[in-house]
Amino acid sequence: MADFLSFGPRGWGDELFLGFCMTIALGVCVFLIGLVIGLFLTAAKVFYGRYCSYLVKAYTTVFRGLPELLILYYFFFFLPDAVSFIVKSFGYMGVWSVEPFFIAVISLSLVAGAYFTEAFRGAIDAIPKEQIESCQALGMSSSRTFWKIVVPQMIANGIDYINNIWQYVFKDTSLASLVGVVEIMRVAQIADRVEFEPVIIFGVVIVYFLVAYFIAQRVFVLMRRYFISKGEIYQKMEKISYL
Amino acid sequence: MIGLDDITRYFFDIVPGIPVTLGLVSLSLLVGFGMAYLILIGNLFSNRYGRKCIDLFVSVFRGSPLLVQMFFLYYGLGYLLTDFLPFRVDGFWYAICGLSLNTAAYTSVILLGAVNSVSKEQIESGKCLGVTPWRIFRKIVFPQAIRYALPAYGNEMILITKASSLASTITVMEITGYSTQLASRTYDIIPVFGIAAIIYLSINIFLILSVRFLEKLLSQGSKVA
Repeated sequence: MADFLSFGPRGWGDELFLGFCMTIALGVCVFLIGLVIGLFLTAAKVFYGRYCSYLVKAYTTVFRGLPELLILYYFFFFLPDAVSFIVKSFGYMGVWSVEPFFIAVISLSLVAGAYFTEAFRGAIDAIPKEQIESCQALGMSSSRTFWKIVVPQMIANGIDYINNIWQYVFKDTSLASLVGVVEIMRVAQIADRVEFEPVIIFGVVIVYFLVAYFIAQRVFVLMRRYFISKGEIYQKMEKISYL
Repeated sequence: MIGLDDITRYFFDIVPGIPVTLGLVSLSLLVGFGMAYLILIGNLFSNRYGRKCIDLFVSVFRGSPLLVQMFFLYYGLGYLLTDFLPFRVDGFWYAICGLSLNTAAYTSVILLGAVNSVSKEQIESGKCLGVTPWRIFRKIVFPQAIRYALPAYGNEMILITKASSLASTITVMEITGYSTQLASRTYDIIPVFGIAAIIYLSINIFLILSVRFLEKLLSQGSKVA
């Protein structure tokens, strides 16, 4: 029964495992780029006033309100055209193809960035205003205040949301199989076409994702504990400085 | 160059997908809510082992992608069912099955959190008055839990609307299915996906507004908002 799941040239075990490594790579890329997008959009909202925050609001509403599949298909059709247009305007007359991996990373990390921006919006409200005022009193520049004082606390406050976003992003990477990224879902589809054992093969994929789910939950429990203990340290320092 | 009549033609090409999407969303939300209610009752009234089984079910459906679940149901269950059934089950029903199982798992967690946030004093006073546990749950706890759960459930409704686009991968022709077909036929990417995006956004904005209205309606005459 499990012959076609064995590791080696006859089975699909190693292909599925490599596909899962690809899924993890995709998930980590999307998560990190989304985090950067979220941080910079939050900074833009803080530093560049009302109109910028309206633009950011429009971005988050659109990218959170649309199905990821639609966004992915949009970039799948649009990006090769756009790239070849840009390349042609520089005088290159060949065909310039776009790797499906980049299509998936760009579209999914735009979605993840919208979720991060919304999570940070809630987390930033929880930071007391007195801290920013005291930074001004100490003569810190506003960008220094933002990156050194606000951002670490913002991430610590929003750690639960960040956990949710990771789970969400990691599950969304399976959509990348539909634009041709060879990750675990794609491998499973190919294996299913050859072996015709859909229950077992897709069951194995579910087990892989479940293992990743439980590991990520444990890691975030540890991170949460770390941030809470850090927070206690900050509070103690506060008390000492008051004395 | 794309004219206005092209855009209207594309719109009317996508329109047949709207009832399919709405049917998918409403049916799976309905079935999913019923299942979530049963899961909640199981979680509250069963022993330790029953609770373990329910936890496993919930984490299977929360921990794995909906796409995998849909493929598992459509190819796996469909493959098993072809031996027993004389007719072919449409992809639409597999999509509803997958979506409703998924939303049942998520909704049960939302409902459990809401039930836990109902104050314990009410349950104790109910016990003191000799009300049976089942009646306490049904008449005292659950109506208040619904009100607590409403904002999170609104989010879940939006997530399911977005997730219904995955049904296009198992041959169900809904908004995303029609629009990708149209995009690959005409190659007018921006107007076609723009129309689909506007339809999805208007469905979601309608959902947000109706949840807000319901929240206002349910929180009339109570301290908790």
